[in-house]
Amino acid sequence: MKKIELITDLLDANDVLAQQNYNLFNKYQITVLNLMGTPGAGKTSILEKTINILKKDLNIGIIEGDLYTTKDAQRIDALGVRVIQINTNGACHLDAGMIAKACINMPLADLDLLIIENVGNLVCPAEFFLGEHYKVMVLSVTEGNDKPWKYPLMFRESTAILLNKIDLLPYTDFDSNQFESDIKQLNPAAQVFPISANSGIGFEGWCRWIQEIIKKQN
Amino acid sequence: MHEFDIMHGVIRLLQQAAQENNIKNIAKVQLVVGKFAGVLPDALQMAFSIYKNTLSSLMGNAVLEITECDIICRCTNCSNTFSVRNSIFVCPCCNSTSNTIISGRELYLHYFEGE
Repeated sequence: MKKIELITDLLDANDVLAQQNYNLFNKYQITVLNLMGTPGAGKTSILEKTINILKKDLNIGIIEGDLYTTKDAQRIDALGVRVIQINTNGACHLDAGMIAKACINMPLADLDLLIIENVGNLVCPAEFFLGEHYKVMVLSVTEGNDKPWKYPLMFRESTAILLNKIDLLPYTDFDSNQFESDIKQLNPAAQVFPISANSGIGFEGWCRWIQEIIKKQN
Repeated sequence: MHEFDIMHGVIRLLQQAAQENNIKNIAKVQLVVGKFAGVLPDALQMAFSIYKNTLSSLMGNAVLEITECDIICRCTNCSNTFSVRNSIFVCPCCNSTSNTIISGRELYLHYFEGE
């Protein structure tokens, strides 16, 4: 009986491509965020507001990920920034190969910031490195404060957590103190930004964070 | 959640390595799966048994063994290493919540046996 030792990482195919993406982004000095969250948490609305604030100072590119439709890309396109829509046709997350293909049509040399809006999903996107510098997730107060313990990988992987729809707090039973305490235990390094894409609360701090990480990189 | 995709990758690796090492029948396959890898051992077993049936001459007698790795963290405050239970990432020595995961995210094909 022969024993053949392989010790081969099973996400290698994705990770090798993701590393290539990462190297490409560094070559062009682009800061890349992988934006994740449940369907309806407010990812696209947050992007719209963020772009409107930052586009006068930064060259921004967006990659939109959805199973089907170009609805989100159309919203971003209306703001005058370069956007590419990826349709996964059933896959529940973006992977590095999809990003590599999309970047062929992105003017990378011109960009300061690339934000990838991942497929709405609190599970799978956290597992797949795309080549980004930071994972950022969106949770809205209407989803409940019990989500960190239910989806620990997503919350643990995220450098920034945008707590959206904060203007609806009085109409929900979202326990902010419990949420803060849970995040402190699960991912103490994460920065939580309470915001509202509807009213604009909290965007100053969130946009400042983006500008600081870009500065740090360059 | 992507156990079929992952198993597809495993089978391709096995086919290639079996050919390179002149192995005609695989008896055992060992995978290492961390408990924070987001992959379910039962689902991997199910995917394996389905793929096995499509490659009966090479894999018909193969058994899949999965070694699961606990989630282990190193505290960045006091350097203590500790096991994580119920997603509580708090150092039992100093109560610090600042730590790095040193085990638990593994997902690899370790070895296979055959003749």
